[in-house]
Amino acid sequence: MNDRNNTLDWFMLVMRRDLILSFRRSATYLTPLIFFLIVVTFFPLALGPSQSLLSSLAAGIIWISALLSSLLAVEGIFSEDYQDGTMDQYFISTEPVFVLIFAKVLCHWLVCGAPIILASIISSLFLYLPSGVLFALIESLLMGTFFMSLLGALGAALALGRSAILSAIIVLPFSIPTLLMGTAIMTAAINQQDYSGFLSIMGAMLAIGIPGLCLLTVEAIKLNYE
Amino acid sequence: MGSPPFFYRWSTTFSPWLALLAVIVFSAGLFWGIGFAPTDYKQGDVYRIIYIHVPSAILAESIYVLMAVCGFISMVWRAKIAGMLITSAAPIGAGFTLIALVTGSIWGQFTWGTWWVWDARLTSTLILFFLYSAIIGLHSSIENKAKADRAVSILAVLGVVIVPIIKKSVDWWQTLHQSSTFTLTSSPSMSPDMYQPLFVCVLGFSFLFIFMLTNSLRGEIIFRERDKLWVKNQFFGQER
Amino acid sequence: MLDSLHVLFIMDGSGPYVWLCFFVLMFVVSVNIILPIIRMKKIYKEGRLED
Repeated sequence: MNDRNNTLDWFMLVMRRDLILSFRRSATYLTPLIFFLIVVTFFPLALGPSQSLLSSLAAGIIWISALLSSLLAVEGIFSEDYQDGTMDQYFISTEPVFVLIFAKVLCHWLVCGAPIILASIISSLFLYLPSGVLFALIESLLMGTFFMSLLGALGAALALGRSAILSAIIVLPFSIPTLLMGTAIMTAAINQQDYSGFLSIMGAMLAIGIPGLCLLTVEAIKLNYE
Repeated sequence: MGSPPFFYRWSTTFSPWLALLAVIVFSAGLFWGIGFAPTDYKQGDVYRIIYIHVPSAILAESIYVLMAVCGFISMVWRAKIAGMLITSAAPIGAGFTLIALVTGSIWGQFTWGTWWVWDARLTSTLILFFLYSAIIGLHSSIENKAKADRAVSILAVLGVVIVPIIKKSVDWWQTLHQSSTFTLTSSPSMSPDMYQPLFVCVLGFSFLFIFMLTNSLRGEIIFRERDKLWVKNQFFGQER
Repeated sequence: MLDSLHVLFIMDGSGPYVWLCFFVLMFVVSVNIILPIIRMKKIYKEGRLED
């Protein structure tokens, strides 16, 4: 491995390792997906099968379910690496740790977040979402679930080795701006208005969030080594 | 100011005076506002809740900003006292947020006829309460308190993005809640007779907060450093 | 004198609302002041027992 001196090489290496690990264990990508579908199914069961009601609530229901399931999925992202000592190697290595953490989060989002977006297309049929806004839903969820993965990684790092519900309590209040932006995009799309402004705000949040949240996550993991 | 023993010694002298000042200004403001300020011609006497509601709401937000500043200091310079300050400020901030929510809800029941409205201001104050709860919960879950301080400061720094959103949200989807009556830059839209007691109340609440913070920070310092020599001499050795 | 006290407490029916808010304020503030004092007293007692 002497030829791997570039930070980008390390980034790819961590990503490849994590991708292989998560594809060998189908639970990592299947459980968030199934959780998402179950939560979505619960809403018609609780609210009744009325088509007009469900269609007006669809965007919100899909957004809440996507947030919750991507949050639950990311909860254990660091615990295995922390226990088997891989995390120690990250911190010992000469590469900037936040790049490696970003690789982990990105890989996690590819494995868990992307299936949720696919499942949201199916559930938009379940909930009679107006078909014209499907593209807006996918666009907003692409950014929203990624932001949730970043936030959830920070929560997971802060609550490392503690209860999952603690990490949820930490992260959920901070996810509210994302939720508001996402539902604003959906409302604008349903009313056939221009939603590119909200999309740009979300993009800006993501652009600040990627370096900012990754750096804070590194700080939070470091606490466990003192 | 930086070292805990220095702060402890300093606060032993000053905290009684601070308490006196806080009690005088606080009760003067409330007395003036509830007892003597003129009755509002539209809302009647119920508007007097403003003298409790607005100062609490202002404090709820400013305490969070204070915590974020302390969180930054504790993250960058590892100042011990900044971390302890966050720990002691969080329950007080949560308390003032709770007061703002409850009094606002009582006021809303009288004027709007409902306990709760999903308006931007109310919602963001509720979120602020959740943020305080997250900080308190995370801190209490970590045994090593120095570590807990730093974990919490990460959260406080992150949460400071939410305070501007709270401010902005009023402009975003303004509904039932009236816009800000109290700004430092422009002249108030209230009459001076009502405005002046409100100003005294804000001042009094702030003094009260500083006293509460000092009081709770003293407890925190003694708790953290209870095995140190200076605590043995100055705290336990008082009556020996 | 009694008359003005009556006005202060009832305030044309909005008195209970205002005074309820006042008691909420006093309760939360005093809890936040008293708890640290109790905590310091406890540490003091435990510390004295150790000696």
